[in-house]
Amino acid sequence: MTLLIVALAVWGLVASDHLIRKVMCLAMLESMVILEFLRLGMVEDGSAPILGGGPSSPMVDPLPQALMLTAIVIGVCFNALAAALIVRLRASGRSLRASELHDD
Amino acid sequence: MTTEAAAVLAFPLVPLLAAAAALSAQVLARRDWTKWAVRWAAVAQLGLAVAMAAAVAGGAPPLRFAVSAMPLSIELAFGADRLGLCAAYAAPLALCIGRVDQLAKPALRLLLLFYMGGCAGAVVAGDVFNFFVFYEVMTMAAYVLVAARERYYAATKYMLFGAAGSICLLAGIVLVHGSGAGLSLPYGDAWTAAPSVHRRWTLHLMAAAFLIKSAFFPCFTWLVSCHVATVPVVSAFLASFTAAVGVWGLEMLVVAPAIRTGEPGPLGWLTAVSAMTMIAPAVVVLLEKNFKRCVAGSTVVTIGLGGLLLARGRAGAAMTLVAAHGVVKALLFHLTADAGADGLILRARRSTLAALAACAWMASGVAPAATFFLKAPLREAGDAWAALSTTAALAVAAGFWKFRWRVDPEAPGTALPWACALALPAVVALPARTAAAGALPAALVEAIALSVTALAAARLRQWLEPRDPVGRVHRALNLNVELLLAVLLWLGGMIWIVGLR
Repeated sequence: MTLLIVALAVWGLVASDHLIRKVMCLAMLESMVILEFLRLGMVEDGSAPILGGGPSSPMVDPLPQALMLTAIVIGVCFNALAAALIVRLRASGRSLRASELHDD
Repeated sequence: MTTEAAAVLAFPLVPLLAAAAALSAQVLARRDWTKWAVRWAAVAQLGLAVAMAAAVAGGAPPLRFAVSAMPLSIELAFGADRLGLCAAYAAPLALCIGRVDQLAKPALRLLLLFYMGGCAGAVVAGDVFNFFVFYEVMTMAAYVLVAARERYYAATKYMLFGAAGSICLLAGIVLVHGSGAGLSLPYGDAWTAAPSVHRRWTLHLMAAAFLIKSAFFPCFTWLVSCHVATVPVVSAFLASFTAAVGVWGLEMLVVAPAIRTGEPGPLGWLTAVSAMTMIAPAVVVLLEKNFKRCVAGSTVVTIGLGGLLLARGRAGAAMTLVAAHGVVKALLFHLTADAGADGLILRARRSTLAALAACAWMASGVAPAATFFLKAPLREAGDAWAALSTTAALAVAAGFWKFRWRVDPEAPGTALPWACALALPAVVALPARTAAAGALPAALVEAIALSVTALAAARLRQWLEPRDPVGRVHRALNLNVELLLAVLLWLGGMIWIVGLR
């Protein structure tokens, strides 16, 4: 499933002409990487990674969760910034179709 | 905490604290202290850089500093292998002290402080995730700085390529962690012991990340667009630090691990891509009519050279080359602010033109420039590599010489040419120890080729004046095609490094 979504996102990145769709495809790709990292830390029937007095079942790896929180924040910043730049691009009278955009 | 460890910790924090102070002053007292915040932070960082360099010089062990005593704590580090990276950051930093006015709005100067924090953090990152976070801080600020003069398309293009590179880097980090090696720099022993296919995927994703983020062929168009779009202060950082961090990242995360584990794929792939990165932009510089684009193209040629040196296992030479180039390129971009370009005519004061000519010569890497001697390992690798490097250098030199350099006493004049006069001997001193006697015959051959090139440049100018071949290519290319090329680069690397099995 991961590979299928990655392939779809890469295809969308290249094949869609609209900038917003390209940004969405990049967001999809990033989400898949984040999910894959979280999957690495997953333990079947694992408990929350809180030390001291918890249940005796094995804990899930907390490191991917902590790291991916940071990656998610970076991803949100990227999406917000991309949206802002695209809005400004449109407001400046330029097309949002990649095939119609060229350097100033 | 030792004094040196405190310097490593303070290095990325200084601009961020300065940004916080300037922002507080703006919100609470309605005073714009951003210019002084940038200047103060730059001076403080230069002092810290000198202190850190002095601490690791002479074979001293690297400085390492864990933020907390917990296992897997965030680590900051600085060693002799990062001196080139630090020099490539310090050169544009020193120049931005006097020219921060180019960023007209206080908000942009605050962003420059964040950009500086990101760059400094990348210099001292002790683990791969920390490096990723600081790199992202740096690029996020850079996207907005590039858009500052309402050049939103250049910023959007940079952002799309930057995000694609970041995703590859993050995926590589996932694989490093998945091998059980932690996130240390360089990779731990568990990664070395991981199955070969796991290592290859890691190397492929890391290589793709840096090839895209550092403007290797065919993803170099964003760098050229951004250089033209933004002010010289930002262009200087992009030209100097982007090249250096790309070469350093490739060495730390791709080349050194590949050599350690005996994986030949990444080195072959890097050689092929770097060779193209030298040749394609050199042709662009040769035929381009916009001076700033020529300067940007010469940066890409140097990035390719750095990649080739890395692929030959000469990391030290590659870092010295990009650091020396960073100094020259930072000066060159600031000098272009004092020159006016009208088609193929470049007008400036006599002192500015002289400094521009010296920097352009150094940027091309043609003998007897100091950058020529830094390419010695490539010439030693064989005649084909020597010919490739000489051809690219001569194409870049001809690309600069095709402009008509005209003295204009009315052009704006600054003290920057004198700064060049002070800086260039330092650049010359850098490769002094590599200027072995064996390089002199090659220098003679190149000097003869140079005379022919000078004559060819004059003919090229006549041919180019009514034509615009590069402009036609620019108009034919669009973001779809450029992103397709990036995906093809990624797929090519996958086939080359991972294999089809």
